[in-house]
Amino acid sequence: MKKSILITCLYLCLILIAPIFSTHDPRQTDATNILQAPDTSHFFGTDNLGRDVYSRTLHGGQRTILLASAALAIAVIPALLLAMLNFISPAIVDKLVEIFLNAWLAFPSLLIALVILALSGRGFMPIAIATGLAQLPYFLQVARSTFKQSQSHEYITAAKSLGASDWHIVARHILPASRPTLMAYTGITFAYCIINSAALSLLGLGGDPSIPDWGVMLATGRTTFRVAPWTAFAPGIAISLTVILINKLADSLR
Amino acid sequence: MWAIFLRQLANLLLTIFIAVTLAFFALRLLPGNAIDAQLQGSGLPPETIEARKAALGFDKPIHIQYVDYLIGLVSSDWGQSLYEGQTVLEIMHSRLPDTLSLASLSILLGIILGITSGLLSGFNTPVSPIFRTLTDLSLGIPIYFTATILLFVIASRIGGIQRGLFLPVLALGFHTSGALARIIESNLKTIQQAPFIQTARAKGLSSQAITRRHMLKLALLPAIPVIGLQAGILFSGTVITETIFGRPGLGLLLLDATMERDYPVVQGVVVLAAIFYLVMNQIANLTVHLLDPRLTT
Repeated sequence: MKKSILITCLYLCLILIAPIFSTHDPRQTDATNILQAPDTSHFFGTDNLGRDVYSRTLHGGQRTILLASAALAIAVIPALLLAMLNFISPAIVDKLVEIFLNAWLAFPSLLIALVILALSGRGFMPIAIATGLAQLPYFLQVARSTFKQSQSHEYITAAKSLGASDWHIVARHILPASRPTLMAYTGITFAYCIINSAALSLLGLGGDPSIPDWGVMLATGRTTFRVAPWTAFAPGIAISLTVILINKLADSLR
Repeated sequence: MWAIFLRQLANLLLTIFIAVTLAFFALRLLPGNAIDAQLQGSGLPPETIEARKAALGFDKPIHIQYVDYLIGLVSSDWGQSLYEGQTVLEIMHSRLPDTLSLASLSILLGIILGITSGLLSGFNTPVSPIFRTLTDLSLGIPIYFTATILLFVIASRIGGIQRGLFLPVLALGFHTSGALARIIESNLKTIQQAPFIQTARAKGLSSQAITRRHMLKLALLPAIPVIGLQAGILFSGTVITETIFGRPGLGLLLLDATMERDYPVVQGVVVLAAIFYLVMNQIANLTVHLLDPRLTT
């Protein structure tokens, strides 16, 4: 388990610092070198504006990971706080939360993200908010049920009978006891954030196309795939590899 | 049995009611009152805007609009598109068959592929690693990448296949199978270590009989609710598949309506998706209740 965390963290750090390995300016267009096949000067070829796909993939990874991390924070932090609040509230609140959550979960996450984005405009933060808010109810649901399962530990009954406050119990006992499940689900949520934020770019709701992220690259690569497959393969494989790695990490945490 | 059925039905109706309420208020209370902004951005003179709003019922207080909307929902009046003269139900009705065939065939393929792959990964057979990798790919590769590859690698070689349902169903079915396969695989692994399986082995039951009589049911039953949950992923998936393959279904309608800020249509599709999801999950839960004697006694 320790090893897989280490590998994934290393991989993510590598993506974050990857732009220093780029060979070209990712925004530099070159009209004489459009859709060129991979060679020694352009490792992954060039795209429809003659930009270096290798450098764009490296820069795009940094932005994609930052975007997904922001979305992850927007999903996980409020969800955890709400789950803790819910835990110390009377049982009737939990019943209401359950009914409300079931209704919220009925809306597919991509639809929620799509509607939020359409209402709030384009850009980095709107995409992060739309992606994160769409994942929030799922995380809340998981945290809520994990807290409930952790409740049955004997040391929690002991803490209660010693007169510990509700808040103390949930922060000091319930949260640590739920950590493995929550960590695993954080990994899964992160993977969803990467996939969904890229999907929003792909559907044409992404940010500024001159700043590359993998979703935007895939969106433009899709149109030139037939003549220049590398334009879509580079970002597509990058997203897939990252998501599979994070999923594997999440599996090993369970 | 009937008591459970009635209670679940009441629960379903309550959840649908809350989901509808959420959709209604979210679309009206989010920044800048969406419908106002849409009409004001259209550049029409103020009198025309007032007249349009009055005609569509948007000049009334919000609680009256809400009650009107609820009455409309049950009396098959889901509002009017802000653009064309059509009603929301007419537009959705023309788009529904396309999405329905795509979604139902995909979930069918997803179930078949998911069960096959889950069982083959769970038992230790020579092909297990292949199917485990397939599950990883199904869960890890984004559907838009699979669809792109399929479209250009296969469609560019076999002419005419692009227009059919085959490729979209293949992409969507493959990606709905992963979650199902994973849960069946992990169920099988847990069951194989259960004490009653050892007992069955000890009393001399053949391994085929153990699988058939003890393991299959226990591994497959918990997978049924997962099929229900896949309904939600299915709808997100149709938005993407329909965009990439250019199929004019409900997913593409939602995307277009969102871009054009045609809120009544957005609301209609979102509410339909939510009801579809809730009903699918209810059916899945009810099926489990019917098949699992432990739950009814």
